[in-house]
Amino acid sequence: MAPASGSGVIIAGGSLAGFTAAQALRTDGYSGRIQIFSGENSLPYNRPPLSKQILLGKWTVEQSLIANQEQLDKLEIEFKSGETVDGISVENQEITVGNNKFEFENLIIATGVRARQLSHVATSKRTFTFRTLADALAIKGSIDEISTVGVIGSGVLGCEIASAIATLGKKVTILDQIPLPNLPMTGGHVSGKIHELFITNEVEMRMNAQIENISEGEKSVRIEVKGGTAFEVDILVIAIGSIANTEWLGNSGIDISNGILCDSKGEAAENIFAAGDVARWWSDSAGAALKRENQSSAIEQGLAVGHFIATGEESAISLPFFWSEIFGAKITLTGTLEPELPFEVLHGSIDEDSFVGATFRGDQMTGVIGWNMSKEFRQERKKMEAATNG
Amino acid sequence: MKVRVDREACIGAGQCALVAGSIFDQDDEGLVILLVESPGESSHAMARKAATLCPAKAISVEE
Repeated sequence: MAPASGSGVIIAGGSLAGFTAAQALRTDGYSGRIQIFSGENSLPYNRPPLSKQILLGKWTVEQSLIANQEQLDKLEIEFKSGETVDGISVENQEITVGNNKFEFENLIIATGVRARQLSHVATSKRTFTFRTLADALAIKGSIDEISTVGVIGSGVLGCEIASAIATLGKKVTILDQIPLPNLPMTGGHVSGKIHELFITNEVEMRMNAQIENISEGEKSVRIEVKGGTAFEVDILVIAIGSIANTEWLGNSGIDISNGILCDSKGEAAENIFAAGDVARWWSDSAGAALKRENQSSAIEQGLAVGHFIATGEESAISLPFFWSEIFGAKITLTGTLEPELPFEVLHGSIDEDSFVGATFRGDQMTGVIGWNMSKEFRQERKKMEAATNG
Repeated sequence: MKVRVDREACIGAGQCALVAGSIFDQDDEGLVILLVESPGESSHAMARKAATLCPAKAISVEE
Protein backbone atom coordinates (compact mmCIF):
# COMPACT_ATOMS: atom_id res chain seq x y z
CA MET A 1 0.00 0.00 0.00
CA ALA A 2 1.23 3.46 -0.84
CA PRO A 3 2.21 5.79 2.00
CA ALA A 4 -0.05 8.70 2.89
CA SER A 5 2.59 11.17 1.79
CA GLY A 6 4.73 10.97 -1.34
CA SER A 7 3.78 11.28 -4.97
CA GLY A 8 0.95 8.72 -5.03
CA VAL A 9 -1.35 8.41 -8.00
CA ILE A 10 -1.62 11.07 -10.66
CA ILE A 11 -4.61 11.05 -12.96
CA ALA A 12 -4.33 12.95 -16.23
CA GLY A 13 -7.87 13.94 -17.18
CA GLY A 14 -10.75 14.76 -14.87
CA SER A 15 -13.75 13.38 -16.65
CA LEU A 16 -15.71 10.20 -15.98
CA ALA A 17 -12.93 7.58 -16.31
CA GLY A 18 -10.45 9.65 -14.30
CA PHE A 19 -12.81 10.50 -11.51
CA THR A 20 -14.20 6.95 -11.35
CA ALA A 21 -10.65 5.60 -10.99
CA ALA A 22 -9.97 8.03 -8.13
CA GLN A 23 -13.19 7.08 -6.41
CA ALA A 24 -12.41 3.37 -6.83
CA LEU A 25 -8.95 3.86 -5.32
CA ARG A 26 -10.54 5.29 -2.17
CA THR A 27 -13.39 2.75 -2.03
CA ASP A 28 -10.78 -0.01 -2.25
CA GLY A 29 -8.72 1.43 0.59
CA TYR A 30 -5.95 3.35 -1.15
CA SER A 31 -4.68 5.97 1.31
CA GLY A 32 -1.94 7.65 -0.73
CA ARG A 33 -2.11 10.98 -2.45
CA ILE A 34 -4.47 11.33 -5.44
CA GLN A 35 -4.08 14.28 -7.80
CA ILE A 36 -6.30 14.80 -10.84
CA PHE A 37 -5.21 17.28 -13.50
CA SER A 38 -8.02 18.33 -15.80
CA GLY A 39 -7.58 20.53 -18.84
CA GLU A 40 -11.17 21.69 -18.61
CA ASN A 41 -12.34 24.53 -16.40
CA SER A 42 -14.97 22.50 -14.65
CA LEU A 43 -15.49 19.94 -11.93
CA PRO A 44 -15.96 16.40 -13.30
CA TYR A 45 -19.15 16.13 -15.31
CA ASN A 46 -21.10 13.53 -17.16
CA ARG A 47 -21.01 13.83 -20.95
CA PRO A 48 -24.15 11.97 -22.13
CA PRO A 49 -26.54 14.64 -20.73
CA LEU A 50 -24.79 17.31 -22.83
CA SER A 51 -26.55 16.27 -26.03
CA LYS A 52 -29.75 15.44 -24.15
CA GLN A 53 -30.86 17.19 -20.94
CA ILE A 54 -28.39 20.10 -21.10
CA LEU A 55 -29.15 20.97 -24.72
CA LEU A 56 -32.88 20.66 -24.04
CA GLY A 57 -32.52 22.95 -21.04
CA LYS A 58 -33.98 20.31 -18.70
CA TRP A 59 -30.93 20.15 -16.47
CA THR A 60 -28.69 22.74 -14.88
CA VAL A 61 -24.92 22.43 -15.15
CA GLU A 62 -24.86 21.31 -11.49
CA GLN A 63 -27.08 18.34 -12.34
CA SER A 64 -24.54 17.12 -14.86
CA LEU A 65 -21.66 17.17 -12.37
CA ILE A 66 -20.38 13.79 -11.22
CA ALA A 67 -18.87 15.22 -8.05
CA ASN A 68 -18.91 18.56 -6.30
CA GLN A 69 -16.04 20.10 -4.35
CA GLU A 70 -17.36 18.81 -1.04
CA GLN A 71 -17.36 15.22 -2.31
CA LEU A 72 -13.86 15.62 -3.74
CA ASP A 73 -12.63 16.96 -0.40
CA LYS A 74 -14.27 14.13 1.47
CA LEU A 75 -12.51 11.61 -0.77
CA GLU A 76 -9.23 13.54 -0.37
CA ILE A 77 -8.87 13.97 -4.11
CA GLU A 78 -6.85 17.00 -5.20
CA PHE A 79 -8.72 18.16 -8.30
CA LYS A 80 -6.87 20.72 -10.40
CA SER A 81 -9.04 22.13 -13.15
CA GLY A 82 -7.66 24.12 -16.05
CA GLU A 83 -4.31 22.31 -15.76
CA THR A 84 -3.48 20.24 -18.81
CA VAL A 85 -0.84 17.51 -18.56
CA ASP A 86 1.41 18.20 -21.54
CA GLY A 87 4.45 15.96 -21.18
CA ILE A 88 5.77 12.74 -19.66
CA SER A 89 9.04 11.07 -18.74
CA VAL A 90 8.44 7.34 -18.38
CA GLU A 91 12.03 6.88 -17.18
CA ASN A 92 11.74 9.45 -14.37
CA GLN A 93 8.09 8.53 -13.70
CA GLU A 94 6.98 12.11 -13.92
CA ILE A 95 4.62 14.28 -15.89
CA THR A 96 4.76 17.95 -16.77
CA VAL A 97 2.03 20.53 -16.51
CA GLY A 98 3.29 23.72 -18.11
CA ASN A 99 6.56 24.52 -16.33
CA ASN A 100 5.97 22.19 -13.42
CA LYS A 101 6.98 18.57 -12.99
CA PHE A 102 5.13 16.06 -10.84
CA GLU A 103 6.41 12.62 -9.89
CA PHE A 104 4.04 9.68 -9.69
CA GLU A 105 4.05 6.17 -8.28
CA ASN A 106 1.20 5.33 -10.63
CA LEU A 107 -0.17 7.32 -13.51
CA ILE A 108 -3.68 6.88 -14.91
CA ILE A 109 -4.13 8.44 -18.33
CA ALA A 110 -7.73 9.47 -18.93
CA THR A 111 -7.28 12.42 -21.26
CA GLY A 112 -10.14 11.34 -23.47
CA VAL A 113 -10.76 12.44 -27.03
CA ARG A 114 -11.62 15.70 -28.70
CA ALA A 115 -14.04 16.46 -31.49
CA ARG A 116 -12.75 15.90 -34.99
CA GLN A 117 -12.93 19.00 -37.13
CA LEU A 118 -13.68 19.26 -40.84
CA SER A 119 -10.38 20.15 -42.45
CA HIS A 120 -11.72 23.11 -44.40
CA VAL A 121 -13.76 24.67 -41.60
CA ALA A 122 -12.73 26.63 -38.54
CA THR A 123 -15.17 26.67 -35.64
CA SER A 124 -16.32 30.19 -35.11
CA LYS A 125 -19.45 32.09 -34.18
CA ARG A 126 -21.85 29.95 -36.18
CA THR A 127 -20.01 26.67 -36.54
CA PHE A 128 -19.59 24.39 -33.54
CA THR A 129 -18.13 21.06 -32.62
CA PHE A 130 -19.66 19.17 -29.73
CA ARG A 131 -17.65 17.53 -27.00
CA THR A 132 -17.43 19.61 -23.86
CA LEU A 133 -19.78 21.31 -21.46
CA ALA A 134 -18.58 24.61 -22.91
CA ASP A 135 -19.58 23.44 -26.42
CA ALA A 136 -23.06 22.43 -25.25
CA LEU A 137 -23.57 25.73 -23.44
CA ALA A 138 -22.37 27.72 -26.45
CA ILE A 139 -24.94 26.05 -28.71
CA LYS A 140 -27.66 26.32 -26.10
CA GLY A 141 -26.77 30.00 -25.65
CA SER A 142 -27.39 30.75 -29.32
CA ILE A 143 -30.54 28.63 -29.69
CA ASP A 144 -33.12 31.32 -28.89
CA GLU A 145 -31.95 33.51 -31.75
CA ILE A 146 -31.92 30.91 -34.48
CA SER A 147 -34.44 28.88 -36.42
CA THR A 148 -32.44 26.57 -38.69
CA VAL A 149 -29.62 24.19 -37.76
CA GLY A 150 -27.40 21.94 -39.83
CA VAL A 151 -25.82 18.88 -38.27
CA ILE A 152 -22.98 17.17 -40.08
CA GLY A 153 -22.64 13.55 -39.03
CA SER A 154 -25.33 10.96 -38.31
CA GLY A 155 -23.57 8.88 -35.68
CA VAL A 156 -24.94 8.78 -32.18
CA LEU A 157 -23.84 12.29 -31.31
CA GLY A 158 -25.21 13.86 -34.49
CA CYS A 159 -28.49 11.97 -34.04
CA GLU A 160 -28.89 13.06 -30.42
CA ILE A 161 -28.05 16.70 -31.15
CA ALA A 162 -30.43 16.80 -34.11
CA SER A 163 -33.19 15.20 -32.05
CA ALA A 164 -32.72 17.60 -29.12
CA ILE A 165 -32.62 20.71 -31.30
CA ALA A 166 -35.62 19.63 -33.41
CA THR A 167 -37.53 18.98 -30.17
CA LEU A 168 -36.91 22.64 -29.35
CA GLY A 169 -38.87 23.56 -32.48
CA LYS A 170 -35.97 24.32 -34.82
CA LYS A 171 -35.73 23.25 -38.43
CA VAL A 172 -32.89 20.70 -38.53
CA THR A 173 -31.01 19.25 -41.48
CA ILE A 174 -28.70 16.26 -41.07
CA LEU A 175 -25.92 15.78 -43.60
CA ASP A 176 -23.73 12.73 -43.95
CA GLN A 177 -21.85 10.97 -46.69
CA ILE A 178 -23.23 7.56 -45.68
CA PRO A 179 -26.68 6.40 -46.89
CA LEU A 180 -28.35 5.96 -43.47
CA PRO A 181 -27.64 7.05 -39.89
CA ASN A 182 -25.58 4.57 -37.91
CA LEU A 183 -25.34 4.08 -34.17
CA PRO A 184 -22.28 2.34 -32.70
CA MET A 185 -22.34 -1.45 -32.37
CA THR A 186 -25.75 -1.70 -34.08
CA GLY A 187 -24.36 -3.19 -37.28
CA GLY A 188 -26.75 -0.97 -39.24
CA HIS A 189 -29.73 -3.09 -38.18
CA VAL A 190 -31.75 -0.15 -36.83
CA SER A 191 -30.48 2.47 -39.29
CA GLY A 192 -33.67 2.40 -41.37
CA LYS A 193 -35.75 2.79 -38.22
CA ILE A 194 -33.72 5.78 -37.08
CA HIS A 195 -33.91 7.38 -40.51
CA GLU A 196 -37.68 6.96 -40.41
CA LEU A 197 -37.81 8.49 -36.91
CA PHE A 198 -36.10 11.62 -38.20
CA ILE A 199 -38.37 11.87 -41.24
CA THR A 200 -41.47 11.48 -39.02
CA ASN A 201 -40.19 14.32 -36.87
CA GLU A 202 -39.62 16.55 -39.90
CA VAL A 203 -35.85 16.55 -39.85
CA GLU A 204 -34.45 16.95 -43.33
CA MET A 205 -32.11 14.08 -44.16
CA ARG A 206 -29.40 14.84 -46.71
CA MET A 207 -27.70 11.49 -46.86
CA ASN A 208 -25.06 10.41 -49.40
CA ALA A 209 -24.01 14.04 -49.31
CA GLN A 210 -20.49 15.03 -50.32
CA ILE A 211 -19.80 18.42 -48.82
CA GLU A 212 -17.80 20.59 -51.16
CA ASN A 213 -17.64 23.84 -49.29
CA ILE A 214 -18.74 25.53 -46.11
CA SER A 215 -18.57 29.27 -45.72
CA GLU A 216 -19.65 31.33 -42.81
CA GLY A 217 -21.35 34.65 -43.41
CA GLU A 218 -22.46 37.34 -41.02
CA LYS A 219 -25.85 35.78 -40.36
CA SER A 220 -25.69 32.23 -41.68
CA VAL A 221 -23.55 29.32 -42.75
CA ARG A 222 -23.66 28.31 -46.41
CA ILE A 223 -23.19 24.65 -47.28
CA GLU A 224 -22.46 23.44 -50.76
CA VAL A 225 -23.08 19.79 -51.54
CA LYS A 226 -21.79 18.00 -54.62
CA GLY A 227 -24.48 17.78 -57.28
CA GLY A 228 -27.03 19.64 -55.18
CA THR A 229 -28.16 23.16 -54.51
CA ALA A 230 -26.37 25.15 -51.86
CA PHE A 231 -28.35 25.98 -48.75
CA GLU A 232 -27.98 28.07 -45.64
CA VAL A 233 -28.49 27.42 -41.95
CA ASP A 234 -28.30 29.74 -38.96
CA ILE A 235 -25.81 27.52 -37.16
CA LEU A 236 -23.88 24.38 -38.05
CA VAL A 237 -22.87 21.59 -35.67
CA ILE A 238 -20.09 19.23 -36.71
CA ALA A 239 -20.27 15.75 -35.18
CA ILE A 240 -17.95 13.60 -37.26
CA GLY A 241 -16.06 11.59 -34.67
CA SER A 242 -13.11 12.10 -32.42
CA ILE A 243 -9.34 12.20 -32.04
CA ALA A 244 -7.54 10.75 -29.00
CA ASN A 245 -5.72 13.28 -26.84
CA THR A 246 -2.36 11.51 -26.92
CA GLU A 247 0.00 13.97 -28.59
CA TRP A 248 1.69 14.68 -25.25
CA LEU A 249 2.81 11.03 -25.11
CA GLY A 250 4.59 11.32 -28.45
CA ASN A 251 8.11 10.60 -27.20
CA SER A 252 7.19 8.24 -24.40
CA GLY A 253 7.54 4.94 -26.27
CA ILE A 254 3.92 4.14 -25.36
CA ASP A 255 1.89 2.79 -28.30
CA ILE A 256 -0.59 5.55 -29.13
CA SER A 257 -1.73 4.36 -32.54
CA ASN A 258 -5.52 4.72 -32.39
CA GLY A 259 -5.56 5.29 -28.62
CA ILE A 260 -3.28 4.06 -25.87
CA LEU A 261 -2.61 0.35 -26.16
CA CYS A 262 -3.12 -1.40 -22.82
CA ASP A 263 -3.15 -4.97 -21.56
CA SER A 264 -6.35 -6.48 -20.13
CA LYS A 265 -5.89 -4.67 -16.81
CA GLY A 266 -5.33 -1.29 -18.43
CA GLU A 267 -1.54 -1.13 -18.05
CA ALA A 268 0.28 0.62 -20.91
CA ALA A 269 3.80 0.76 -19.41
CA GLU A 270 5.32 0.19 -15.99
CA ASN A 271 3.04 1.88 -13.42
CA ILE A 272 1.20 3.65 -16.24
CA PHE A 273 -2.42 2.87 -16.96
CA ALA A 274 -5.08 4.27 -19.26
CA ALA A 275 -8.87 4.28 -19.05
CA GLY A 276 -11.85 5.63 -20.93
CA ASP A 277 -12.18 6.98 -24.46
CA VAL A 278 -8.41 7.45 -24.87
CA ALA A 279 -7.60 3.82 -24.12
CA ARG A 280 -7.50 0.67 -26.23
CA TRP A 281 -7.65 -2.33 -23.92
CA TRP A 282 -6.72 -5.86 -24.82
CA SER A 283 -9.76 -8.14 -24.74
CA ASP A 284 -9.10 -11.87 -24.36
CA SER A 285 -12.58 -12.77 -25.62
CA ALA A 286 -12.21 -10.62 -28.74
CA GLY A 287 -8.55 -11.56 -29.23
CA ALA A 288 -7.79 -7.93 -30.04
CA ALA A 289 -7.29 -4.56 -28.41
CA LEU A 290 -10.54 -2.60 -28.63
CA LYS A 291 -11.18 1.10 -28.39
CA ARG A 292 -14.57 1.48 -26.81
CA GLU A 293 -15.77 5.03 -26.72
CA ASN A 294 -18.79 4.69 -24.54
CA GLN A 295 -19.73 5.71 -21.07
CA SER A 296 -20.04 2.27 -19.50
CA SER A 297 -16.54 1.32 -20.67
CA ALA A 298 -15.14 4.54 -19.21
CA ILE A 299 -16.75 3.71 -15.88
CA GLU A 300 -15.72 0.06 -15.87
CA GLN A 301 -12.15 0.76 -16.92
CA GLY A 302 -11.83 3.50 -14.31
CA LEU A 303 -13.15 1.11 -11.67
CA ALA A 304 -10.82 -1.68 -12.81
CA VAL A 305 -7.66 0.47 -12.84
CA GLY A 306 -8.44 1.98 -9.43
CA HIS A 307 -9.15 -1.46 -8.03
CA PHE A 308 -5.94 -2.91 -9.46
CA ILE A 309 -3.70 -0.15 -8.12
CA ALA A 310 -5.34 -0.33 -4.69
CA THR A 311 -5.46 -4.12 -4.35
CA GLY A 312 -3.42 -5.78 -7.08
CA GLU A 313 -6.53 -7.65 -8.24
CA GLU A 314 -7.72 -7.67 -11.84
CA SER A 315 -11.37 -7.07 -12.72
CA ALA A 316 -13.44 -8.61 -15.48
CA ILE A 317 -14.78 -6.09 -17.97
CA SER A 318 -18.38 -6.56 -19.11
CA LEU A 319 -19.57 -6.49 -22.67
CA PRO A 320 -19.91 -2.93 -23.96
CA PHE A 321 -23.20 -1.26 -23.11
CA PHE A 322 -24.57 1.73 -24.95
CA TRP A 323 -27.76 3.79 -24.62
CA SER A 324 -29.29 6.71 -26.40
CA GLU A 325 -32.49 8.67 -26.60
CA ILE A 326 -33.67 9.98 -29.96
CA PHE A 327 -37.04 11.71 -30.20
CA GLY A 328 -38.05 9.98 -26.98
CA ALA A 329 -37.13 6.50 -28.24
CA LYS A 330 -35.05 4.83 -25.53
CA ILE A 331 -32.40 2.70 -27.14
CA THR A 332 -30.18 0.31 -25.18
CA LEU A 333 -27.60 -2.08 -26.52
CA THR A 334 -25.16 -4.63 -25.12
CA GLY A 335 -22.55 -6.50 -27.09
CA THR A 336 -22.35 -5.97 -30.83
CA LEU A 337 -24.98 -6.51 -33.50
CA GLU A 338 -23.00 -7.97 -36.38
CA PRO A 339 -23.81 -6.42 -39.76
CA GLU A 340 -23.52 -9.70 -41.66
CA LEU A 341 -25.83 -11.67 -39.33
CA PRO A 342 -29.64 -11.62 -39.61
CA PHE A 343 -31.48 -9.44 -37.11
CA GLU A 344 -34.05 -11.33 -35.07
CA VAL A 345 -36.86 -9.63 -33.16
CA LEU A 346 -37.28 -11.40 -29.79
CA HIS A 347 -40.01 -9.28 -28.16
CA GLY A 348 -42.49 -6.68 -29.35
CA SER A 349 -42.52 -5.36 -32.90
CA ILE A 350 -40.48 -2.86 -34.87
CA ASP A 351 -43.64 -1.32 -36.37
CA GLU A 352 -45.03 -0.64 -32.91
CA ASP A 353 -41.89 1.18 -31.80
CA SER A 354 -41.23 -1.23 -29.00
CA PHE A 355 -38.97 -4.21 -29.51
CA VAL A 356 -35.95 -6.20 -28.43
CA GLY A 357 -33.80 -7.69 -31.17
CA ALA A 358 -30.52 -9.53 -31.47
CA THR A 359 -28.05 -11.15 -33.80
CA PHE A 360 -26.85 -14.71 -33.22
CA ARG A 361 -23.76 -16.56 -34.34
CA GLY A 362 -24.87 -20.16 -34.03
CA ASP A 363 -26.53 -20.33 -30.61
CA GLN A 364 -24.54 -17.44 -29.22
CA MET A 365 -26.12 -14.00 -29.05
CA THR A 366 -23.49 -11.46 -30.17
CA GLY A 367 -25.49 -8.40 -29.22
CA VAL A 368 -28.95 -7.36 -28.11
CA ILE A 369 -30.79 -4.07 -28.59
CA GLY A 370 -33.83 -2.70 -26.81
CA TRP A 371 -36.06 -0.03 -28.30
CA ASN A 372 -38.53 1.35 -25.74
CA MET A 373 -38.43 -2.03 -24.04
CA SER A 374 -36.22 -1.84 -21.03
CA LYS A 375 -37.30 -4.83 -18.96
CA GLU A 376 -37.30 -7.37 -21.76
CA PHE A 377 -33.95 -5.97 -22.88
CA ARG A 378 -32.52 -6.60 -19.44
CA GLN A 379 -33.78 -10.19 -19.43
CA GLU A 380 -32.11 -10.93 -22.76
CA ARG A 381 -28.97 -9.11 -21.75
CA LYS A 382 -28.71 -11.24 -18.61
CA LYS A 383 -28.98 -14.41 -20.68
CA MET A 384 -26.30 -13.20 -23.08
CA GLU A 385 -23.90 -12.19 -20.34
CA ALA A 386 -24.41 -15.45 -18.46
CA ALA A 387 -23.58 -17.36 -21.65
CA THR A 388 -20.54 -15.18 -22.43
CA ASN A 389 -19.09 -15.39 -18.95
CA GLY A 390 -19.88 -19.06 -18.57
CA MET B 1 -26.20 3.02 4.43
CA LYS B 2 -28.97 5.05 2.85
CA VAL B 3 -29.74 4.65 -0.88
CA ARG B 4 -31.61 7.30 -2.85
CA VAL B 5 -32.84 7.27 -6.43
CA ASP B 6 -33.82 10.16 -8.67
CA ARG B 7 -36.54 8.95 -11.01
CA GLU B 8 -36.46 12.27 -12.88
CA ALA B 9 -32.83 11.68 -13.84
CA CYS B 10 -33.24 7.92 -14.49
CA ILE B 11 -33.00 6.95 -18.15
CA GLY B 12 -33.97 3.32 -17.70
CA ALA B 13 -30.66 1.75 -18.63
CA GLY B 14 -31.20 -0.96 -16.04
CA GLN B 15 -27.56 -1.19 -14.95
CA CYS B 16 -28.61 -1.04 -11.28
CA ALA B 17 -31.12 -3.87 -11.52
CA LEU B 18 -28.50 -5.91 -13.32
CA VAL B 19 -25.72 -5.59 -10.73
CA ALA B 20 -27.91 -5.21 -7.64
CA GLY B 21 -31.28 -6.82 -8.39
CA SER B 22 -32.06 -7.23 -4.68
CA ILE B 23 -31.96 -3.44 -4.18
CA PHE B 24 -33.26 -2.07 -7.49
CA ASP B 25 -35.95 -2.98 -9.97
CA GLN B 26 -37.45 -1.25 -13.02
CA ASP B 27 -41.08 -0.31 -13.65
CA ASP B 28 -42.84 -0.95 -16.95
CA GLU B 29 -41.18 2.08 -18.54
CA GLY B 30 -37.81 0.93 -17.31
CA LEU B 31 -37.47 3.57 -14.62
CA VAL B 32 -35.76 2.66 -11.39
CA ILE B 33 -37.70 1.36 -8.39
CA LEU B 34 -35.87 1.31 -5.07
CA LEU B 35 -36.66 -1.95 -3.28
CA VAL B 36 -34.49 -1.48 -0.21
CA GLU B 37 -33.64 1.92 1.22
CA SER B 38 -31.18 0.73 3.83
CA PRO B 39 -29.48 -2.41 2.55
CA GLY B 40 -27.61 -4.68 4.94
CA GLU B 41 -23.86 -4.59 5.12
CA SER B 42 -23.39 -7.58 2.84
CA SER B 43 -25.08 -5.58 0.05
CA HIS B 44 -23.12 -2.34 0.46
CA ALA B 45 -20.51 -3.09 -2.19
CA MET B 46 -23.29 -4.00 -4.63
CA ALA B 47 -25.16 -0.75 -3.95
CA ARG B 48 -21.98 1.30 -4.43
CA LYS B 49 -21.32 -0.46 -7.71
CA ALA B 50 -24.84 0.28 -8.94
CA ALA B 51 -24.42 3.96 -8.07
CA THR B 52 -21.10 4.12 -9.90
CA LEU B 53 -22.38 2.30 -12.98
CA CYS B 54 -25.58 4.32 -13.33
CA PRO B 55 -25.19 6.22 -16.60
CA ALA B 56 -27.57 8.96 -15.45
CA LYS B 57 -25.98 9.26 -11.99
CA ALA B 58 -29.49 8.87 -10.62
CA ILE B 59 -28.44 6.77 -7.61
CA SER B 60 -26.73 8.17 -4.55
CA VAL B 61 -25.40 6.23 -1.62
CA GLU B 62 -24.87 7.84 1.74
CA GLU B 63 -22.74 5.96 4.26
